[in-house]
Amino acid sequence: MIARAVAGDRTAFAQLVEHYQKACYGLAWRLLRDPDLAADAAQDAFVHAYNAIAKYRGGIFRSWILRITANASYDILRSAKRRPTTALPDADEGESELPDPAAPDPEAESGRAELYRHLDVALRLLPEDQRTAVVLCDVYGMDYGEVAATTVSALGTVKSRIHRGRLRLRALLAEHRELFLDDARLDR
Amino acid sequence: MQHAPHPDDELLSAFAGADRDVAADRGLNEHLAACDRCRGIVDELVVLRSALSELPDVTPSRPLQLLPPVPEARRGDAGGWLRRLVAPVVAAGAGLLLVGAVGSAGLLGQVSIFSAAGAAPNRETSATDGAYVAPAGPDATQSAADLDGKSTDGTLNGGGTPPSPAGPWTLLLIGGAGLMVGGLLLRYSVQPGAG
Repeated sequence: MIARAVAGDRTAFAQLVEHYQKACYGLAWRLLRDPDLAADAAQDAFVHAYNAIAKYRGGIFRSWILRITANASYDILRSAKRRPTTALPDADEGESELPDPAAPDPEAESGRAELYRHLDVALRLLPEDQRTAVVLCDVYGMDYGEVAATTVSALGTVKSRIHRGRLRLRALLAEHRELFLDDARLDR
Repeated sequence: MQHAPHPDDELLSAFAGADRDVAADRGLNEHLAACDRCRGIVDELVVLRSALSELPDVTPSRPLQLLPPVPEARRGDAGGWLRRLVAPVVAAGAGLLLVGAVGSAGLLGQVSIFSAAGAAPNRETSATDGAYVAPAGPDATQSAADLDGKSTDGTLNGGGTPPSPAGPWTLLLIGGAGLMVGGLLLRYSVQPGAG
């Protein structure tokens, strides 16, 4: 399907995007913390991906389209900062803004749904630079270099943001430590 | 047992993140092997990273468009070049129509002034049909000569020579209207994608 999309098959491209749209939207939403801005970012990313698909040179397609989404989200983040009228939500807006995860119900029915909810709330409470770095690195698996390129930051700065972000997350989730450790024990 | 000073927590985070530079740090590994406090932080951060990597995808807040619209030029529309002619043709027609209308109006106004003020004493015009009417009376013979733009003594008329009402302005009017009608017919007769 990827090969057909690269060759210009619009139907194949649409199928690919449909498959990854929840991942792309999830990344944009975790970076921007706003459903409408996240939808805008995902939409921009699909257009960029469509225009760049002919240059796709293999590798993991999910990573490729997520990188494009991260760039589109970061562009919106920067332009929102330049134009204060496009207000980003406050970090402490709470859980009411959390969307329902797209994961199938079996996971949601398990105790992990609560774990994921606490994680998303805690991520929203991180300072923007730390949240961006942690989301890109730990949630979406980008390496330091990719995070640095996306956020137009020095490698050392990115590492520091990731490490401080993780430690802050750990502190924010301290009261739910048992939930995490139980989950880890279940994994073993 | 006396521990060496605890390493910076950011270093522990790097270790939990499998940062290659830090993972190979012998001193840090030895410290972690002996320090429950630091080992505990690393373990928690490892669990935290694992949970973060499993965060589920999220359903978009609104339906997203999966494909950008097809640009006009990429449709392979053989009738496209014809349809692209429509706007210029209609615009040219409208322009000609306007020039013709303004010219005709100017001409009529000019003739009306002649008639009203008697500035062209030897001719009159009907505003309705645009035809010159030779005035009755003793000057009738002279008026016929004035229709050629000359006075009886062979000189040009002092009031100027009005052009023929059926002249270029009318042609412009008719031509402009024709172009507009033609352009609109073109617009509705050539369908997108028509070959």
